[in-house]
Amino acid sequence: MSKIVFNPDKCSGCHICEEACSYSHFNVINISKSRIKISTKFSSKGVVHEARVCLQCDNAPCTKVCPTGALSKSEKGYIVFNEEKCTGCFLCAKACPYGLIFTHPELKIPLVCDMCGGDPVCVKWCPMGALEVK
Amino acid sequence: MEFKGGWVGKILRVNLTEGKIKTQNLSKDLALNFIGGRGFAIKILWDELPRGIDPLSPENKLIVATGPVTGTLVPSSGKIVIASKSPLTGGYGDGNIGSLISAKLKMAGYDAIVIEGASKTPVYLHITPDSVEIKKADYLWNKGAIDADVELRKEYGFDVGTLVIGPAGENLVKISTVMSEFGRAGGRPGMGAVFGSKKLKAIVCEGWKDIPVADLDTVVKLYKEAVDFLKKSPAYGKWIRQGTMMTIEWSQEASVLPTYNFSEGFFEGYSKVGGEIMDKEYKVLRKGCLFCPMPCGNVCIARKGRYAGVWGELDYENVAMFSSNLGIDSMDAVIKMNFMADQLGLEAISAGSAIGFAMELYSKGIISAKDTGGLKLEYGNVDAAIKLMEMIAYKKGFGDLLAEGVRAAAEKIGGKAIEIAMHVKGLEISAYDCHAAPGMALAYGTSPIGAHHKDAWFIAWELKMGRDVISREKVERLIEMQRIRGGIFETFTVCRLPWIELGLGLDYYVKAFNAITGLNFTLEDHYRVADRIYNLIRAFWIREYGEWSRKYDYPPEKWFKEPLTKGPLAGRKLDKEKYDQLLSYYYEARGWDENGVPKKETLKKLGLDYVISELEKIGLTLR
Repeated sequence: MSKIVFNPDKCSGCHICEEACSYSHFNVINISKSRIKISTKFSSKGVVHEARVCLQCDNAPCTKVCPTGALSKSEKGYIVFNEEKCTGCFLCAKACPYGLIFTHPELKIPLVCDMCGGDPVCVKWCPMGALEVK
Repeated sequence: MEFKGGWVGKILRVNLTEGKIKTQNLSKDLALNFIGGRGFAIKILWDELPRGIDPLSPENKLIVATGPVTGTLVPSSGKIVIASKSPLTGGYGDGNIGSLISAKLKMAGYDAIVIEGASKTPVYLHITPDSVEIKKADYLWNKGAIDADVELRKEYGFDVGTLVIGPAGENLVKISTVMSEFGRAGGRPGMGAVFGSKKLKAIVCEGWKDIPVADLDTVVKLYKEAVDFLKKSPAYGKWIRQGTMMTIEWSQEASVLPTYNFSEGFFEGYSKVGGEIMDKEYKVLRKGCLFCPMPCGNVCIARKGRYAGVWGELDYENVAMFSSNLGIDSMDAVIKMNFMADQLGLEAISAGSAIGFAMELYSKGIISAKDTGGLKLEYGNVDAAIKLMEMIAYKKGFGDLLAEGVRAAAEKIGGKAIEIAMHVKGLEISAYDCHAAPGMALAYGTSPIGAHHKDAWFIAWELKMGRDVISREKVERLIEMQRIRGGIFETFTVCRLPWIELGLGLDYYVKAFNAITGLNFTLEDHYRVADRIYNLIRAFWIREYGEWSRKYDYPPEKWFKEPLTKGPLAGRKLDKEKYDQLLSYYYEARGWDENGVPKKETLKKLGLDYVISELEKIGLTLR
């Protein structure tokens, strides 16, 4: 199953991927509406960049628990989100074993990566080449 | 006023004495005539600070300000300005920091924060779009800046924005700064101490609102063009490997690498602390600011000796000040010192200068081990430098004297010490030696916060024009640079490096500004704003000092008196007459009188009529 793969050694923590996502899905500048999340974590013992984004699981629990069929899988195996069917119950977010379905205080829908249908904008925008589809 | 984009339109006011929080609208005057960042800061401080207040008293105000371009999709737009009346210089002080809080503040619904008064007990400020709270910070007090930042993130996570001070700021050390995200620092002229004086340990900001822009599609289109341009630059590859660290080798080549407390511009051991070796042996991670496609943060690990395993984020200024300036040729030691400065919240450039100053005093026999509590402050003595850094941050022994900055320390010691205290207007000089660079010396001399490279990085332009050239043209180029670096980038607020390092055109910034704000500003309009700000900042200094004369715009005596002895430019020093000539050209071009005081006509042309009566009140006659 192809998904977005993150290379922490190339990442700089610039959040451009988050903006690519928010812009392409919501037409706004707002990194908090992104479906991919980059965190630069640090302590006095070091620094590391981490990414959180949907793994496009084969038997995705989120699609199983969705009571209205708003979440499903495409033929290519990508998560498909149908906003019209979504009631905003967020059972999907609770069901994700990795915590990779996000919420936003002003949105009544879950934020889950849909791979932009197969050609993710975040991957294209990343200036460091830290994201790939694999 | 309703803004179409760029500005959010609100200023947050927090009074820590009364525990009161207010929101006010951003006025049209502030937005259009001062744009943002530094522009907001100087206007608010000019309007609201009574003359002569103690910068570390509750009467001082602390400004944290974004600009209309901050956090929008412009390369490297994750910058925010921290400003106040400086406890180090007694004049206007500011600094910018690359931190997520820049965008988060706007995403919380504010362009700027004005912090007034002082708390009795340690607090931090927690801001979200729904709430602003002053919270207890007793558990964070005495913690290092990195450790306190980590502690806050246990509660708020790594996706929030922070500003944090270390023990140096808490202890009101005047060469303390503000930190964020492990290795980012901003606010050289004692902004950490201003936080400390207000018992403000940190600001935490969560944000989730959209950042408004007038014409998003154009902003995105321009952004993509800019990124393509930057990535095609021939200098891009080396830049993202070394960032500003490549300047060590460059400065050595040009004989401007500060060495032995700015006695030389040439350091034998430069390659051991340069960009090449850092890239090959020490760098482990790239780290960049928000929306920066050309990240310059060099996260490194010390490899050898007893500091092996220590992490640090390196850049040119800090490394030069802790290596060549102290005669230290070990990258491992520099990483340790840099990490310590960041954890202590000690401002690294000034700390390197203060230690270098002490080492020169020691080497000249002006002080001895008796004065330093037994420290043998010879050049190259890493242990002594590290010990002294701690003594400064905690104001212990001899460190207490240096905690006031080199100007105040030198005035206390007197005599020769005054000539070798490397500062302008009380701010320690950042890492370019000017024995053979009169234009760069003038840039430091006329920088609006004291001798900092932010406004003053004229050295590369000067070398292109010829270092010996003394001309009006050179001065005009310097003013152009001040308008860009100290005006446009500090008001927008975005990073200047895509422009200065990789040549992203100013026309891009002007177009992006217009697409973001829906306004129709020209480059000339932005230059006018920059001039307005420069004049108001100058007026602020004059009002605070109560007088003005050329001496405040001079570099230290050392550069005029003691020639270089090493490298290809041995024998060179600055010529006072030539410097004076440049300074006169500068005053003329700025519309200031021969003492550096703005003329009435200049102030009127810039819409600063209200400055005239204020300066006349202190007994000045304006020409």
